[in-house]
Amino acid sequence: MVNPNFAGRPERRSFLLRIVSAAAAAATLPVVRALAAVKGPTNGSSVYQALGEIFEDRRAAGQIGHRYLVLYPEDAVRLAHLFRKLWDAYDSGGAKALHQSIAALRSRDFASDDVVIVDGWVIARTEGMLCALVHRV
Amino acid sequence: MISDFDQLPTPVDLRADVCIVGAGAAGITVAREFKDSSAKVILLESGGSEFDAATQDLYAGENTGRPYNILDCRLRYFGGSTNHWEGVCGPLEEIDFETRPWVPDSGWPLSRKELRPFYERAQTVCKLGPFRYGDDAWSYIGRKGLPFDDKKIRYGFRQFRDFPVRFGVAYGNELRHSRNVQVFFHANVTNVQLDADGRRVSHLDLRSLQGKTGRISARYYVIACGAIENARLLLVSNSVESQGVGNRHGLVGRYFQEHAQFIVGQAFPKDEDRIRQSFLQEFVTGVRFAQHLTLAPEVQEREQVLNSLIYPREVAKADSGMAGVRQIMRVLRHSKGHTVHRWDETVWRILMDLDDVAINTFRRVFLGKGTMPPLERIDLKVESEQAPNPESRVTIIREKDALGLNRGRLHWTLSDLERRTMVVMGKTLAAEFGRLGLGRVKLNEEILKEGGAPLPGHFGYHQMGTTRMADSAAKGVVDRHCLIHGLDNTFISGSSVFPTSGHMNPTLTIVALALRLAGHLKTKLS
Repeated sequence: MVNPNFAGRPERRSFLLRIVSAAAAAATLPVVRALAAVKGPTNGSSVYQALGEIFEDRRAAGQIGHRYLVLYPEDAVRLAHLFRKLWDAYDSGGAKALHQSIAALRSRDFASDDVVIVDGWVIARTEGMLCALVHRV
Repeated sequence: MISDFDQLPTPVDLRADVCIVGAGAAGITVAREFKDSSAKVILLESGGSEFDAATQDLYAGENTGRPYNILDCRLRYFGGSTNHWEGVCGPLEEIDFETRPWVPDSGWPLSRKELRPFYERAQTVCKLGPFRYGDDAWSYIGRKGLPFDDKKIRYGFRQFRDFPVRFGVAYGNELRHSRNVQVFFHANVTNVQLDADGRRVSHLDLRSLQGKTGRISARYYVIACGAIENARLLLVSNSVESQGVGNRHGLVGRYFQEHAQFIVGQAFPKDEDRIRQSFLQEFVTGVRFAQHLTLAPEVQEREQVLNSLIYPREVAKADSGMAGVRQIMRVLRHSKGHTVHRWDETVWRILMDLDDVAINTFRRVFLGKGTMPPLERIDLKVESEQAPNPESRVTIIREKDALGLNRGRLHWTLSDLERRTMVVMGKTLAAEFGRLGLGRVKLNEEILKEGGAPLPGHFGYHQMGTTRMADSAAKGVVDRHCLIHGLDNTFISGSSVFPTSGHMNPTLTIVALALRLAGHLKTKLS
């Protein structure tokens, strides 16, 4: 469950929108482009631009997130913890730190076989949870 | 010498030191080992030198299990099923020989290490490269694979030639000119006759489709007719023991195994060329080395699944010139089962795509590399071991064939373990793809459904397991030397003796076991 306190903090909600747009994955082939790599921002560009380089379709990400929560409802309680982690990363190091944090979590998931299957797509659990955050926003 | 049983003067009463029934990969391999020795060897072949429908019809029977073409999955003439195989070879892995607590009835009475010297010799028989199927193959083909975590997933190799060895064609002349090995065409064994106390085979009854009859007596017999026919022949030979020869414990025909093959999903690589290049087949001195991936033994044990292999299977654009070239090559390589449906359209496609065809031909002929046609998609194909299952079996039915023998019935069945194995294989590969940043995998949602209806898919035309090997007569039909339990002069050669199937095509193991059996027989004869 997403931290209810965030609803009263506009800057955190807008941050959340930026993060999850960064994690969005389309339901079809753009899943590959969306999830395959977390690249850092180029030449000091804004968070929006940086995340836009990685993710493609926020609407589709939300659809994946909805399916993810149907299939893995037990993960709903972990969303707030993930959000906090990413917020802390962004807070301390900006977009680059945010991207590195996402990449590290994803890499950890794959290395430990912590993968989930959403409509056949095998994705890292972190990716599923990021899409779930999109759905919740 | 090669003779026609139908032309022999009546009565036919043959005698030999070793009588081999069936001239496929196993039978021809055993026979060749005695060439120019002092032993008199007779090799009996049901068919002739070419396919004929009447002989092939002797293989017809009933199928009550999973869809399976019991008639066309094997060939009944000189050379046997090597007349239509694709030539893919590789050894079973060490884990395939081991007793695995999570796989009931697993375990061979011999180890891979014991079979290794025969595998190496089998390479020569199958006209392959050196015995390199693991990491040692990379140095031979001159490159490296992707850095998968080998505690999860490992590379393996298969070898094959563009034009597979047809054993009858490759070795027929050698047998024709042999002084001591006599091949008889059109000689069908209709009965394996036990002596009165059931401890020895006294003779085999013979009959041709033209009505010629006879018998053969030998010091030793080797039954090498393939997994379905080996079982059928033992079951119909019931004049002394009503349940058939070697069947006191009801095991003949049981544990029929095949290699289930499924497209478990698709790969969506971030860099398509990188994936294609890393799985490109390499040609070294005319032999293809094809890579695949298998689950590490520790993953198989942890997940309690079977052995299996997975590899990316490129699906070329249907309208590409290279798709047309591949179609034509399949027809040229194989005598049955492949056709070019519209030659004119196929040739037109090749002409319209001539630049791509030329590039790929250059790659293949001059660089010794696999071809890379325009892609439609990359499927992920899994070939799985089958868990030994006594209810998957060959029996006989009332209907008789043209020789008066009961026809066979196949009841092939799979369990959910094969499906689960494929899911674990697909997920493990997907996780490694993600970890290495290679892309993503989408699994076939049919494969993800637990239990329920049997999977769709195909099979390998690899019939195995119906006269399995075990030290105990209560667990197997033959012992570690392939001698039928309870008998002292009759052996079985071929994949019917496999207790487990592994994921690998069986022919190299068939030939290795045949070489081993021939050596054992030579020792007994001397």
